[in-house]
Amino acid sequence: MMPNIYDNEGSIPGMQMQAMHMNPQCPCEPCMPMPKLAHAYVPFQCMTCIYPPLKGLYAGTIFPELDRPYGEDPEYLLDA
Amino acid sequence: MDENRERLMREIMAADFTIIDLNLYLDTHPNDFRAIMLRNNFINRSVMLRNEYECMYGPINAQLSMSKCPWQWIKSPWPWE
Amino acid sequence: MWVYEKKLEYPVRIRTCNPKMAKYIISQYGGPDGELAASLRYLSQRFSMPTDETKAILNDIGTEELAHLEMVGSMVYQLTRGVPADVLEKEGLGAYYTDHDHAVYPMSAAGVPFTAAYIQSKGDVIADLHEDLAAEQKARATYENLINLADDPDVIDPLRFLREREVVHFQRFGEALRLVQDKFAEKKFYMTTPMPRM
Repeated sequence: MMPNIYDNEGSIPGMQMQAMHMNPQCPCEPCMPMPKLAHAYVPFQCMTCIYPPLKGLYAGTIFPELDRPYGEDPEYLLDA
Repeated sequence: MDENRERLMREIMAADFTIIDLNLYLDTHPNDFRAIMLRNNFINRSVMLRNEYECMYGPINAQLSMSKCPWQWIKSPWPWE
Repeated sequence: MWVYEKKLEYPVRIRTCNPKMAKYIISQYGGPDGELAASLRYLSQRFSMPTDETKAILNDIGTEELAHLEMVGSMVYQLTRGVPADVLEKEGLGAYYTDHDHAVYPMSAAGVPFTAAYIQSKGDVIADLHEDLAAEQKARATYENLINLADDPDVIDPLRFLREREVVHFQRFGEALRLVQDKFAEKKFYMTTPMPRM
């Protein structure tokens, strides 16, 4: 019998972030390394909650923060 | 495909997909204890659903699923049909 | 090694044939930014990866791309299943039918057979991971083009799923790149955000 792991909105409650120096843009990375020239950087994802299985399957990911449907990111819509 | 078979297969796909996405997350976040617990829970759920499906509709996994006689693995429908 | 499971990663149930769409979608089977290229690229690059995390992510994403290859092949199969030769010819698949009948053959939308020239396995972890990031963006863009071309919801649904997987894979390759950069950087300087005022 699976324990109930979803909160009232149907998501799984996340971890408590304890970091002192919180960067609101990247809660998983309070201390980002100094960016170097000629290097590319992608921020780390921090899992907070996940979709229920059927919703995750339909969305194409279980992570709400990575759920970027077609049309959501305007930079992806720039056509030649 | 009958309704019950489709419904069960969708639940299995959903549980397995959750595991796949958690596996990829864990590959780059190997110390996330909570993610590992979640993944292991979903594996239990997937195993339970697969047992229910395989009793009625035959094997899913080529290496791990049991078969009755005649050999059930070859029976249609195959996934692309 | 690989074990086969008798299920798709995501359902493909196309009820209306559409050979013209099949001609475009086949590009994600055997085309330059398709799933065969992706899986071969990642499964080849994994051998020369330097860290546990990078070996694992190349291995696991490469494996998932094989599942996507199967989905795309299923779409092409279902879009052309039972369609007579004269209809295939009218919809632009005459040349394809001549050589392949109703089979699924790895080629691009323009009819170019699959080639390893579509991939690189450079052996340089930074180069390889950047290639992988680019590959995921190219695949995402191709799926968006296919979604623009399609109007059948049965076709758009799996395309939408596959597009979203490319977004997630990009994130994972980006994290793998970060792990390599952070691990092998000679000196590390950190910047912190200021303490919030109480």
